[in-house]
Amino acid sequence: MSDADFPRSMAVEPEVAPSPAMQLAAQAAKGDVAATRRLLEAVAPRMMRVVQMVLGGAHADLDDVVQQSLIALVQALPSFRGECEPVHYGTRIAVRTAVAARKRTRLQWSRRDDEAETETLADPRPLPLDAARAERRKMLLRDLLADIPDEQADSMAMRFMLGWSLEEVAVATGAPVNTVRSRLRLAKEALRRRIEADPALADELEVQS
Amino acid sequence: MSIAELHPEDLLDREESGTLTPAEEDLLRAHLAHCAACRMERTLRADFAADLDAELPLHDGALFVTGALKHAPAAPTTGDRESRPSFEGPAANDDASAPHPALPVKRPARRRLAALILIAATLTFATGAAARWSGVLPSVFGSPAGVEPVVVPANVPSPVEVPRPAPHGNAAPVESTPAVEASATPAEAVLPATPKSAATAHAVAVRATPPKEPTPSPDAPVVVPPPVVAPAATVAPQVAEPAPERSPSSLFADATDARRRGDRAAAMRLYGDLLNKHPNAAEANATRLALGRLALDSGDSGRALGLFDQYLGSGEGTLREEAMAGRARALQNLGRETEERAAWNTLLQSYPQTIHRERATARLEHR
Repeated sequence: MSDADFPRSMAVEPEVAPSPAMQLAAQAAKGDVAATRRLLEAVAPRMMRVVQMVLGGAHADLDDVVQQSLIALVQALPSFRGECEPVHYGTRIAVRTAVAARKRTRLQWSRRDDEAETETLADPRPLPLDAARAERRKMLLRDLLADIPDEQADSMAMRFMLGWSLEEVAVATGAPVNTVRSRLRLAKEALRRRIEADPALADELEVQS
Repeated sequence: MSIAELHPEDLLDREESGTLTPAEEDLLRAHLAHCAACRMERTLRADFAADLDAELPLHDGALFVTGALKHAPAAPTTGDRESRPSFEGPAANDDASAPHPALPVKRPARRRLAALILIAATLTFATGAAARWSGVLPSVFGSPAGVEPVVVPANVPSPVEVPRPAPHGNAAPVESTPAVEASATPAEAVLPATPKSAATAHAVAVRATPPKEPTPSPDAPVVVPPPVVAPAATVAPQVAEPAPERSPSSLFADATDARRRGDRAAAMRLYGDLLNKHPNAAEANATRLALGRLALDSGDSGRALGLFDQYLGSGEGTLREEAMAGRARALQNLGRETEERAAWNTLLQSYPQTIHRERATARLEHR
């Protein structure tokens, strides 16, 4: 991932003039509809992409969750204190909304007789081997996110899917870096257990050093 | 052993930013050799990085924005920001079954199938019931005043058979049940054999059939309503009714489904239909961008350029970055280098952190 896509400097320096997005967020928080629209247009693409990554591109509720994320952002704007760029604030909301949706989907499917999940059925075309393995790894992570506690899932999604550094995750979640580290350690233990429970899976996924 | 030694995330970060020292590199390699979780983390970060750089999914961003705006906070009457609730994100155990009121309810495929079956059953019932009702009513309630019923033998077909419009959609066609047949056998028995796919619909239709007259003996004469003097328009051979115009949202949904399936031809046709029939619909702008991309991928750069220009001219902003990149690519394909350079420059000025930055820079450095 390029630095340009997710800038490393998430915290806003006090001496720096507020960015245009920050100004828009401030106006939107005061109820300025035009500013809200412009802010949403600026952050929506990123939030859509994040939701797609957490849920998978063919998830049946993808559109709904994108919409929920944007609504959640709008409703949370009054409490936004400008501690990070609005796009990162929106990204965090998108991650949390999508992880929660993933958990709900898991719960709903667990109540059904069959275990088919929509995203695995969406595209029957065979994938090249590498792409298939990558997709399998992503599915494994998405499944895991639905099974671990929310805080761990949020940190893991930001770290594994968005490629954020420990500091970035700490800023986004409002937790100390060592807390983030601890959450990631627990999440990774769950991941390790899942891999070790199925040695064939580890081979198939070709998790190489 | 410290937590950092357990899983050296910092080293992974430094590896990504290219600031790893040789000693740290050895340390990281040694850790990865025995830690499947960290290997997985490293691999997954690379897997998802490709997704981050991929083109945006073509959702109708404008509709999402409009939907979210309905929930925009009203101008505050007090300045007490701290008293407002902060975002905590949806709880995992929230009642997910209740959709958000502002959301377009999207049914899973299974529910959609059930809905289609229900619609087919309803149409079947409506058609079958209307057929039977037209024969039953006069015999149940008597013939219209002043018109004597005509008694005909059971084997004489009804003199008037008004053709019915074919059922809609994929519902199996239901043959009309002539009065003579209906009179000869119980209604359930004379229902024509239907394809298996319509069996459910028929079952519903049969169960929902209105109360029938007592079944007469097969040999008994049948009271058939007199020939209906139908208006010319009714008896004349019916011209197929034009299909009801499809809504832009359903065209957009079908086109998007086709695109996701990889059926580009169908997707382009449906997107084109949408633009032809509903050029001012809320979905039109997203459609222009989607169709532009498809046209670009299929080599029709001229058409793609026109569509991207239309999108950008609309003032719509949600997918503006993508439209600008598409426009530059179309100009590149058309060999209009000066305009292409201007297009890439405009993109970089408008979106300095665009995911198309690498391509834009490469093209600008080209030559």
